[in-house]
Amino acid sequence: MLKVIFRIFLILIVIALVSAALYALVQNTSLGASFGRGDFGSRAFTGQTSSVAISGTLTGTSFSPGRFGEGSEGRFSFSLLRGLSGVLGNTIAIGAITLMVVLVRKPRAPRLLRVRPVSLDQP
Amino acid sequence: MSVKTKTNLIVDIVILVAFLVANNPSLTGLPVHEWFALAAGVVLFAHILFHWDWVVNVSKTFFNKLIHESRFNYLVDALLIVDFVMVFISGLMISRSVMLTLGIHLPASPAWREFHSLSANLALVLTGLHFAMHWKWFVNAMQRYILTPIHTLTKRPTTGSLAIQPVKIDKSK
Repeated sequence: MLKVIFRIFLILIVIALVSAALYALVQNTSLGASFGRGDFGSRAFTGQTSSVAISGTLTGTSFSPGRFGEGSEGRFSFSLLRGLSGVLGNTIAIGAITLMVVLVRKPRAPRLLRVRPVSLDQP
Repeated sequence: MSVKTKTNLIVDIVILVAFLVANNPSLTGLPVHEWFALAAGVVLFAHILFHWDWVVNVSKTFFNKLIHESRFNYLVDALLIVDFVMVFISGLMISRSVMLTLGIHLPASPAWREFHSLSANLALVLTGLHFAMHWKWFVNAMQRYILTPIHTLTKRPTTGSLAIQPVKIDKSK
């Protein structure tokens, strides 16, 4: 039991360190400031420099002004079809990455060890 | 051992499905997305605890004798943990529902939103890599604990199991 608590404590320390680093990055550096304006250089945000409309190209995550922005606090709209297509897109993305890596890692038999059919009736 | 593998398989499937669902706020709506992701974070926590021995073993031998695959695997996993922490922290910083429930008011910053989106995209790529690195284990465990039991359940009884066994009939009774 003590061991598990110690492990949880260690994980929490890692989480705290990452959080502190991230917080410092966002709050105190110019990277955070430029990031917030949408000119970070990522392709995902180039088309949307608005402070309230942010979109993730890969995840399909799209936060419209109605969901995060001013004017409609606490209200959100969601569509099942859009959500399901997002889940499907993510699944395909993960599947494609997995397939690529699995194909790259697939062991190939050395040429010299390949089996060649031979006839046993030969003299 | 088999119980541990089965538990790991179930936890892994739950995490994968939870990640796919949580990654699409349009599917659930924002409040459910936030609470669901928080719950998924707890399961992710359990996932690390379940694989603690592997983490310790690879950490000890990381700079010594270790095959390249394990080292790459370790790096991907470490990046994935850091990235998920980034997703959770940035998510909490832009949270509308969870933080309000806790009575915490944070200044909204667009930078956090962009970090959240970017780290979520990165998590997708890293999850794919992580999944690929454990592909063999996943396929074997799926076959052993899910596909084979289903196949056994749905399989029709063969003639072998209905074979006739000769018995002696005593006519005098």
